[in-house]
Amino acid sequence: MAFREKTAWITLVATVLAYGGYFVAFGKAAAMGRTADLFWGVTGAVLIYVVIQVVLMIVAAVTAPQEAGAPADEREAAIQTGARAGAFYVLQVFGIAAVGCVYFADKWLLANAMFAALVLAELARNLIVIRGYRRGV
Amino acid sequence: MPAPPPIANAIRRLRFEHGEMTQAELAARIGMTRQTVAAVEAGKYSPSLEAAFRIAEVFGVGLDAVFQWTGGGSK
Repeated sequence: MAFREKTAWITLVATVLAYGGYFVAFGKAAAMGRTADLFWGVTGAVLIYVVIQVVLMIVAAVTAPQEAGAPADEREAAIQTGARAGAFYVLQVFGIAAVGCVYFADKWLLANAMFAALVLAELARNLIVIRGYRRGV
Repeated sequence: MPAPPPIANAIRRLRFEHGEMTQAELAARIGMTRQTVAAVEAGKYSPSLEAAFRIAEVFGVGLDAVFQWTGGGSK
């Protein structure tokens, strides 16, 4: 597996674990009308995300030091460009949906909806990268 | 799945004829990853013109000895 595909998997796993856990907890709190309960939850989720990322990236780099230091080639650059473009569409759709929350939601729900849009865009980016490596293009 | 690009290549044969050169060796010589060379060889990815010339240069042959258009009349 190419090093940059590994990093996409790592980011995907870190995103699902850290932010998935946060949004499940936020969803439960929001269902009870306590949207402000997880004010510090975002910080915790970001810290968990960073720790998972750093640990797994170090493991990946140590097991393939040459690949880790090599610049992306043209195919990898094309995969990343396509993934960023795809992720931007996801961000637009969910970002607009999040802005729509302003008509019925409080500031906590609105902030979390925007945060969710960013997380979903990141998920989409990494899924598109992985698909690119799997397909060849 | 998108259709593969209508370009055939002789990279596998050329590697064999050049002392069983590995994909990793070829990749190192043209500044690509082994996975990209594998994708090109499998016909899943069409390299840039520059990369195609670099591949041909490694084998000491012309571009048309490495890549062949298979798209028929739409050439």
